[in-house]
Amino acid sequence: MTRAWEQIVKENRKSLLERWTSSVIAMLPGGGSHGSLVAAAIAEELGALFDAVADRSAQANEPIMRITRILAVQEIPPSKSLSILFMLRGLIEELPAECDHPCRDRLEELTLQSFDSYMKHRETIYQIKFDEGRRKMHMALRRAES
Amino acid sequence: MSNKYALKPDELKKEFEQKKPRIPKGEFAGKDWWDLPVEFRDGNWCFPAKPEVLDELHFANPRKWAATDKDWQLPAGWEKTIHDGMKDRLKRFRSFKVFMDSCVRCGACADKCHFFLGTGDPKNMPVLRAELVRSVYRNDFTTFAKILKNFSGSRTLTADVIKEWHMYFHQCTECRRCSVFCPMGIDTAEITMMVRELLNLIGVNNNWILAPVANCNRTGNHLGIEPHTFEQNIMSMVDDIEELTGVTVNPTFNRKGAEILFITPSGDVFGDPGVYTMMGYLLLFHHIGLDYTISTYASEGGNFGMFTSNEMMKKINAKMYHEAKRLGVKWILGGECGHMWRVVHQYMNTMNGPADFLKEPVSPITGTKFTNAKATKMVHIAEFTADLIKHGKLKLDPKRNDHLRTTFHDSCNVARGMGMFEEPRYVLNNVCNVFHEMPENTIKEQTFCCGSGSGLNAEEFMDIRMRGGFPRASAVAHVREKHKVDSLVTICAIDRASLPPLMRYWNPGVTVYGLHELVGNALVMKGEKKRTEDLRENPMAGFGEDDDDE
Repeated sequence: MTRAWEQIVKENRKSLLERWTSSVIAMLPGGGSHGSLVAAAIAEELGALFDAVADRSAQANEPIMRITRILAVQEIPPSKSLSILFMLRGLIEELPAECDHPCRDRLEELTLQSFDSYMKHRETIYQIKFDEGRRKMHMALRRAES
Repeated sequence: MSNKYALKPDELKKEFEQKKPRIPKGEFAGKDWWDLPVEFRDGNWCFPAKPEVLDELHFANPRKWAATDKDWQLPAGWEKTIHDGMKDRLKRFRSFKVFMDSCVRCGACADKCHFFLGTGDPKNMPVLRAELVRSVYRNDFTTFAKILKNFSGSRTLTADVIKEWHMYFHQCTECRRCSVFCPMGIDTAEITMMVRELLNLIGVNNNWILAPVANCNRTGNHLGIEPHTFEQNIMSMVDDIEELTGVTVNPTFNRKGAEILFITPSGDVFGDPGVYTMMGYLLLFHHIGLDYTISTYASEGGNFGMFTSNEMMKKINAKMYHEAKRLGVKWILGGECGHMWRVVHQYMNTMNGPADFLKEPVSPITGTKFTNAKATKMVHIAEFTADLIKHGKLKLDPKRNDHLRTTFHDSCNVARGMGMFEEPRYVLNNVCNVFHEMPENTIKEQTFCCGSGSGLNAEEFMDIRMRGGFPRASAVAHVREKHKVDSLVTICAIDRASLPPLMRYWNPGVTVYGLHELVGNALVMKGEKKRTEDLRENPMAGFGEDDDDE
């Protein structure tokens, strides 16, 4: 009888996290490198996100928010950026665990949550751009007025 | 006769090719670093200068184009223009020649650039960015490298090289952090300055740089504010100050015979949050009874000419000194600005100096002689204020800034260009009670750029700005988490414009302040009414209507 996937994932945390982190970092522009600031910032958050995968009581919002904030301004297509949890699924599926539907459901749930967060960050970028343009227009109007 | 110890050239070449390290991996494995394609896409390029802007400045090749166009409509004979331009500059600027020849590719600079740290793009390593132009220099100007083309890393100038230059020399903010670590003392900013000059010769440019230059050329300031509007805006601040403090400050404009001419970036007059810094200056000058005037013609401290050409930088800088001469002041006091100070401190004296018609600056309040400004006759406001505080000339109540938990961002050009580290900190520590430094490798001479300096503060460039500013934002995040810092204080107008969006994205809740805004908050003015709000009209902690006077 196979054991619950959550249990197996927790038991293999170290090796899974290492391999997952390497895959995510390799996706970064320039191939990434463990020494880079962006890679280090993402790696720091992946551990917390990893814990939230197998443990629903662990906080996923914060690491998702921080990781997607970095990814949202990289030169990586959104489809690729948001595939990070699918990368983990591939690694988990290599384990002898009962990880069909329940595991996929959890990873898809977190991916959709990441999608929301990613879009929020892109929206912030557009809002910042918009506000800078608006300030410029405001300045032009003030000059015209005087 | 063959000799086993002396390989034939073709054998040597084969061995060299087999053994040399290859950096590109994956789909580019086996290719040279310069074969990696340059791709312009939304967020990674700045709009080019409008034709009318170039016409106004008599700059080359005015046309409508975009970096994403396949054909950049370069002028006929552009290769010769670049070649001749480079030849001319190698002759005129000794530093350019030395920096082209002296790099030993040690890599000490590689991971020091905020753009490399934030983008991970190898061509943003300062050594490799410089190699983009050195490779052409070697091909065109050094006989040895020309002969040994395959070994020397030299290449022919093509339109793709121009695109590459445009991309990467506009992903350098001329902050000079890499230069701090360079054992050869190479000033990468000067390489970037030269390449941008060359690009301008063929009309490859940036509107966010050239529009302010045209404005400054026409009206005296980057924002294009005309004299009456400039004055009117400052007078509206006088009204705001009166409303907040009950004190009427009296700035004067274009007044001949004033002792001091005060010049600050126009962002302080028209930009938010720069205007609060300007209000701080006005309160300070009133507090000490300074005999100063503000020019509505030399109405800009900044110098975007520096990002364009040597001649334009010289012209814009000269305006300040011409105005000082016309008004007959003794010396110039300069506001919180970044690159203005690099131009003044490092280039002015040999470019437009000596300013013999001005006096060696002496503080009229403390009698301190600013011998460091003997050549330029221009004193930085932070050292002027620090001197006032040191001599006990200011009545300050730092508790008025207790609603702020501060950290200090060293502006690149003031820190690395002038070596000014302690004066702003001394002022800050005297006007507020909570101050925490960011990590040591992110401040003072190692400070990280805001990511938007040197004319890259364009909104269409936002993605790269956010990535370039990531190292600075990470350092702020560190003190935010550790010490609950919520206020980032700086002494540069570009920082005041670029750090708010950077903080909004990476560290929401952190607000950006000018140093003299906090001075203005803390100053206890003669005849003031009870202060309950800071200059932004935010409530001060413990200074509500119901709180007792201190």
